[in-house]
This record gives sequence, C-alpha cells and structure tokens, in this order.
Amino acid sequence: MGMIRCMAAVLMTGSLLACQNFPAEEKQPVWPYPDPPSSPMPEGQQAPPAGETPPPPGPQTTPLPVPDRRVPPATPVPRDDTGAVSPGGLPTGPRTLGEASGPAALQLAEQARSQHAAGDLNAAAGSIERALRIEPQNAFLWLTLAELRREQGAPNDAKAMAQRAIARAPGNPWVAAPAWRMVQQAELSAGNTDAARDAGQRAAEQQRIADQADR
Amino acid sequence: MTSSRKAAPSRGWLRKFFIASVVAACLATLLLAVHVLRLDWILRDRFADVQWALPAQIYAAPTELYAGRRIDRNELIERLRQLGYRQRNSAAASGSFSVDGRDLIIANRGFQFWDSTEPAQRLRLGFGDGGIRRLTRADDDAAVAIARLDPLLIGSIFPKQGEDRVLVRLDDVPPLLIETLLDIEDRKFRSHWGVDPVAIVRAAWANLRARQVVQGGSTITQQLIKNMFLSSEQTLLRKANEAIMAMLLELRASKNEILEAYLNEIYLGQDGPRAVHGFGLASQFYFNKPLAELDAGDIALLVGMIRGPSYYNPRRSSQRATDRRDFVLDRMAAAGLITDQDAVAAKRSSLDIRDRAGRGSTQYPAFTDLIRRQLRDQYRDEDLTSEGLRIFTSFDPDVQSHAERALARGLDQLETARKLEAGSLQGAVVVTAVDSGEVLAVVGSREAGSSGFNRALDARRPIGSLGKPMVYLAALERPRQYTLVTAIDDAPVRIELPNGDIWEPENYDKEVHGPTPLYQALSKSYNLATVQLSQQLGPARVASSHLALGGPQPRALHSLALGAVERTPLDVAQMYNTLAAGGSVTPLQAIRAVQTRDGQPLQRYGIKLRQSADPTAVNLLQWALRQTMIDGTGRSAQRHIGKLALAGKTGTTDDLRDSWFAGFGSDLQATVWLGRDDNQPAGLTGASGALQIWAQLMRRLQPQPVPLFAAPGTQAEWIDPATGLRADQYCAERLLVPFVDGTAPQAMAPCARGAGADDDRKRGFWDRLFGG
Repeated sequence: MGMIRCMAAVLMTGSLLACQNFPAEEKQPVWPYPDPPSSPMPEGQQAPPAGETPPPPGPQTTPLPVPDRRVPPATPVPRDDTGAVSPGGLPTGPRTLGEASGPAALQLAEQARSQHAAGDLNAAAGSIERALRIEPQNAFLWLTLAELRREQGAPNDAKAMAQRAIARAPGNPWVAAPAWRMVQQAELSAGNTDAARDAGQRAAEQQRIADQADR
Repeated sequence: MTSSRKAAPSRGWLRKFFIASVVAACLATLLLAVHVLRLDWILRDRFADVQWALPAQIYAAPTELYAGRRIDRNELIERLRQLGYRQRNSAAASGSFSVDGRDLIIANRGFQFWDSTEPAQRLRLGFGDGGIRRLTRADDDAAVAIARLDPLLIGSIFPKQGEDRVLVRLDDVPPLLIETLLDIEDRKFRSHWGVDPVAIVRAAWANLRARQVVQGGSTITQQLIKNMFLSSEQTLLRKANEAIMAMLLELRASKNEILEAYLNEIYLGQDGPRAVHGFGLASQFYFNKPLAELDAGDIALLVGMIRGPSYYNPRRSSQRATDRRDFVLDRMAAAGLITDQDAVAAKRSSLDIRDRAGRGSTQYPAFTDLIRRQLRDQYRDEDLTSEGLRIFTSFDPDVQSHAERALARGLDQLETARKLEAGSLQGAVVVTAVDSGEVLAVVGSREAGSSGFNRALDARRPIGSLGKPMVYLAALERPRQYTLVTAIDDAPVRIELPNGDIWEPENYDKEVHGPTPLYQALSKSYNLATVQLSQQLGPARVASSHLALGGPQPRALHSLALGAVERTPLDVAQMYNTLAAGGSVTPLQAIRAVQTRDGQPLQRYGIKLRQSADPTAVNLLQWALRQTMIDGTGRSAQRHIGKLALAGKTGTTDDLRDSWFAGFGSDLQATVWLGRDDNQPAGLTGASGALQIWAQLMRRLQPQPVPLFAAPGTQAEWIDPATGLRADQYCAERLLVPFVDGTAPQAMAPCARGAGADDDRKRGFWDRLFGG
C-alpha cells in the first residue's frame, strides 16, 4: 500500500512538473526522482528542528533560545528536516514528495494530482494548500504549489513559493534543484536575465549534488 | 285598472331597480375581475421564479481529522457538540457520535465542499499521545488518511431587518414533518382549491363560542400567501384577498411547489434583527442540526410553533413549548404517524434546544465584518443578501474563543489589579496563520458578541514601539554595516523638524544607556538608540521597511522610528505576519472560496506570496525579537508561556494611551491592542497590558517555536554580550548570535580563554571602543 502510494506520489509530482517548459539549454529532466525507497515513511525519524545549530560544549549561563520539543504525533509523520549533511558529505533528506509527506498530506497530493489531470488547477491548488495546513514545513508541497501557480500564470507567486521551498529544506538538493529552476523560469519571464542565469547555475549545481547522492 | 295603474309605477321601480342591480353587479364583477387580475399580476410577479432572498452563508474552517493530528478527545467532542452532533450509545445515524472505550466513533454528516465532496461515513478514531493516533472506517476498519467534519455555520449576510433562511428542497424534508404539518395545519391540503370552506366555518364557530380567535381556518396555501404578501392585520378585506390569491396560486402552482414554498417561507421566530424563516433555518436555530436529523419530538415542536412562534418560543417558555409539543405528539400518534410508544418516549425527552442562540447576525460579528468587507469589493450587496452564496472561510472557532476569553478576562484582571474604572478599557485581537496569511480569529471588542465598533479593523492608533523593528530591518538589510551586535549609541538626540519645531525624544525610563548592541536596543526598546539608528539610515528607508512588510505607505518622518503612525490591529497583524513568515508578504485573507447556492465553485482565494523583505535580515530580526521575550520588554510573558520560543514586540504610546503587543511562533501570529475608546490614557504599557493578554492567549494556542539560526547564508557565533566580541566557554555570560556569513566579529572577548586581564574585563569593550 505504502509502496503504491509512494509511486503514485512520485508519478503525480512528475506529471505536474513534466508540463513545465524549460529553456532549451537545460537538457536535464527536472524531476528525475530516484527509485522510491521501500518505505515511504521512515519510522520513528524524529530529527531535531530544522537548522538548529548544536551549541558547543561549555557552561551556559545565558538562557539559550532552545526551541521547545513538541509532543510528537502518534503516527510518526516525517517532516523534511533536511538541514543536516551526513558525515560523509552527502546531502540527506527526503528525495520525493512521498518520502516527505505523511499519509494525510500524501492523499491530498494524490487528490491534487487527479484534479490537475482533470484540468481543474484551482481545485488542485486548493488541495495542496489544504495539505500545507497540515504540513506547513513540507518543502515538496510548496514546490508543487509553486508549479501549479506557474501553470496558472502567476510567475511571481511561483517564484516566492519556490524560494519558500528552498528555505524549508536547507541543504536538500532534491528540493533545491527543481525550485531554483522555477525561480530561473520566473526570472526569465520577468526579463531578469542576470537573476535567471544565477538561478540556473544554482539549479545545475544542486542537480549535480543530487545526482551524485543518487549514485 | 286600479291595480294595473298602481302596478305600473311599481313595475317601473322594479325594472329600474333590476337594471341598476345588473349594472352594479356588472360593475362589481368588473371591479372584482380587475382586482383579481391585479392580485394575479402581483402573484405572478412574485412567484414566477421562486427565488428566495437567500442570505450568503458563512462557514468556519472545517475540522480536519487524520492520524497524527494533535487534538484532545474532549476538545473534539466539544466541537462535535458545537456542530450539533448528538451523543448516542452507538453512532449509527449521521450527525451522531459515540464513545467506545478510548475510541470515538463519529457518523460524519458529509458535506459538499468547494473543492470536493466529503462523504458521509462512520469513522473510528483512536487517541493517544495528545492526539488522534488512528483513523479508520468504522465498518470495515480500513485506514482513512484524512477526513473532515462539516463546517460550522458562523453567520449569514442578510439585509438589515431582514429575513434569514436556509433553503430546503421538498425531497430533503423528512416525510414525517410534512405529514405532521398537514395533519396539524391543513388536513385537506391535497384536495382543496386553496381555501377550505368547511374549515373556515368550523373555525368561525369555534371562535364565536370562545368569543376570541382560538382557531384558524387558513389552509397552507392561504398561510403562504399571508406570509409572502400581506400584513398580519386581521381584517375581512385582507382575508378576502388572501382567499382569492390562494385560489389563484393553486391554479398557477402545483401542490408540491406550494408546499415547498411554505416550508421555506413560514415564519418561525425572531433572533434580534433577524427573522427566522423556513424549517431549514429553524431546525438550525433551535436544534443546531440539519432538517434530516430531526426526531419526532423536534418535528412536533416546530410544527406546533407555527401557530405562535413567539408565544411557543422554547427559549422563552419551556413549559408552554413542551405542552404544545406534547399536544402535537398526541395528534401524530392519533393520526398513526408515530406509534403510541414513540409519542410517550418523545414526551419524556427534554426539548433539546441548543444553548447558544446566534446573537443577531452572528456570534462572531468582528470576523463576519471582515468577510463582508473582503467580499464587498467583488460582489454587490444584493447578491450577498439574496443569492445564497456559500462562503468558506479560515475562521477557527477554537482560536476565536481562546482570543475572546483572553481579552475579556485579561481586561477584567487589569482593571481590578490597577484599580481602573470597570469597563473603561477596550481591546482587539487578530490571530493569523503565518504561512498562508489566513485570518483565524478577530476580536473587535471585549464584548465579543456585540456588533458595535470593530476595533480590530477600525481603531486606527499610533503603533509606538511596534514600529521599531522596521528601523532595525532597514539596518540589518545592510549586513556589511550592521550586525546584531553593532554598537548603537543610546544618546540624546535633538532634531529640528521642517516646521522649525525641535524634537527631543526620551527613553521610557528617562535614562541614557550609552553604546548598546543593536539587538539589545531593540529588545529593550530604547527610543534614543532607535532614533539614532534611524537618523543614520534615513527615514525613507524606515518607510520602505513598512511597505516591504506589507503595511500601508507611511510618510518618511523622523518620528516614524518611534511608531508615530496610525495603524489598525489588522494592519499590524499583516506586518508582523510578514516578519513571522521570513519576509514574504502574504496578503491577509479570511475567505478560502465562494460557492453558488447549488454548490458550484465561484471563486477561490489561494495563497499569494511575494518575497519583499530580505529573508536573511528578517531571520536576524526574528532572533532579536526572540531576545525581547528572553530578557527584553517581553520577558514577563515567560510566566505564561515558559520556555516556548516565541518572538514579539511591545508597543506603548504617549501618556500610555495605547498598549500593543504583536508576536509570533513559526505558525501563528497574534496582535493585541488595548486602550480606551475616548483615547484617554489607559495607564498601561505594552508590557503591562497587551503582552499579558497575548501571553495568556499563546499559552492556550501553543504555537510552534520560531526557528532560529535556520537561514541559509548565516552562521551562529558565541558572543560576549558585554563586549560584542567572540566568547568561549570561559566567559561567564555568552549568547549564541546569528550573523550573515563573514560578518561575525573576529576578535575574542576579554573573557575568552587567556585573553584579557581582570581590569580589562571590567572596563569592557564599549568603554574602550568609545574611549571611556
């Protein structure tokens, strides 16, 4: 079941993003998802909050801004806590929407996929927004929403959402590569060639990191 | 002869009389015909398309159910009750729930949402670890990924002094209701022509005997005519018109059309300015459930109330209403509509009236007001009050009730503790969801249910120190010039204004603090340092920070640094929501979608996003606003929120007229304003007033912590707060401070390993830096 879900999600996001028209010089497929892992939800993965720098050793007298640990959800709902880079230097973090999302968000993403297939972009965006209310930290959902906005002809929204996706998954090239590509697109359509070139370079670099990790 | 002579004039008189009678009769008939035609014309005009004026209905955000959702079981039960779900031993009928051990079984009603249809199904919810642990279909135990309850109807937009109704179709009306209605009000409805002469005679006889009106002989058709067209005065002429129009209506419309119209038109009570029309709304108004879920007792009461909605009002006289219900139940049993046992059982049960009647247009006037304003730009007033639009909003009833309670209780406490005149203070609260910019709750008054002055939207007050972060944002957007520990001199300033006046601001404590790290000047809300900083940057940059945060364009005055600009709580919520969202402006929205009355999507309002402030600078600013809560002007909130990592800013204006606090976690933003309506001093600072209410609210809402040190392109360094230099574990006091890459100070503080002698440490960095 989980396997099917995961595949469906990969296909879904893939199909969403496949419609994207990329500049001719960009030959790389945007959404080369690697094979889905055997389990879409790594059980019990409760990483520390994103990006919290571990304090160095030593006495602490000043109250430190330590984020409170919340009660974890009963069913582990993985969040894309992707700030970390593994000791080997390879990036870690979910590579697909299926890996990043809990069952509720995943079902809504599937719903968005069929709404998108039926041509109802509005409803699809609504379903993704509903999923985002459940998992606001899920960078893949922001990425999907960005793509829908782009298709709806709102490049500025798309760009801001892609940037938010990047911010929500620092160090995750599987988010950053397609997200930068969307930024590049938005910049191109706004006529900002320099910014587009910069975004394109970042996208290529992130793609390289992702490909390396996938190998 | 004589007789004939005598007879002749008499015959002539008779003839004259006869002719006159004929002429009169013809005239009368003609007049009557004209009158009937006129009535028919009125009738046709009104009945041609049975378009009820249907007020727009406003729905709260639905409660989402999924495994992993944090919600207390009792909290969920409370929500179900609010939605009119009934607790049963086993939840079978939709609109009911039951408790099964630690599990909850909900027979979900199903609902046509604007994006998809939620099926009616029986759900089993397992609880544990502070939330829903398992969600399955009760019948076959199949996992359900996500489901949602039907949304709470929070109000409708009807014209002033207007009618409100919830339209029902004949097919949706329980047959028992229809049969009971016909049995009580009009037994020959199926066969008569609009009037029932036998019933009229019977009623007249009964009234004559009782020497007062005890019985009405009006058919359903006549009652409908009366409700739709005529005043309620009991004159013979009106009665005659009513009878004529009833017969005309019978010619024009089918029995079913008349019945459906009646079910939607009949007057069933009054709710302040709102007239309750039709069984659909009455069912909701009195029982808080849809028509389909009414039981025999409910039906008996509603049908019984037709005779005198005010006299039999169950909220006014429970006894009269019960007697009436029981009378109708007996009639139902006598007519064989229900069994005698059912009647006995129904009589034994309580009236089951919902406790909280909608007050006026809505229980939540401030929020509905916001909805109305957001719709006004796109829809005409008459569309809103008559087209039956279904408006889906982001309203969260729980957040709202926490906000209402925090404000009402907080103001009571403040007035008592500070010996202020009771009721002299007023306030407003706006709570938003950071990511989507959705407005979750609006409180416009300490009497939340009263629809008076909506301070959340209309109280324009100077924002005081709430305007300071805009100064620091302008500074932090220049990381090569300003870091969080850059020294800002808190020293007297004297500014000559264009009109020749001299402006000499002071600190709140009237002290001068000298060189201060930038973050502390903000967290401790130093006026002098802030004005110095604003002078360095120029007021134009401060003004653009306002714009970048989504606020209205202010004039670039020197005093802008200290918030000498008037804003509503909603404006402030917008700007602080942008701060919480990392610098991307999401225009605050309260409407998610609008649907036509038949459920067709009309318009959707999606998330809009515009990156307008530098995210890195905003992240640093968030850290500084976090310091406000740790050891700045917001630290007194700690007794309510403990170590919950939230960020925020106090605001106080001249002579303590306004007390503000705006702050956020990563998911929720809340803005609180307190003051007096007459704009006299309220005697409260931002910290002593608004902050206290904000903190109590946040303790209830438990927002997610603000992520610090998360921005790409920044690094965190240990800093010695006394010197602003790098610290290590040997320093007695140190603070982890984020810096834009490459801007962190390199030099080690004197306290750091081996560096600096004792006297050096005493002198401190600032003294040395400024030659002290």
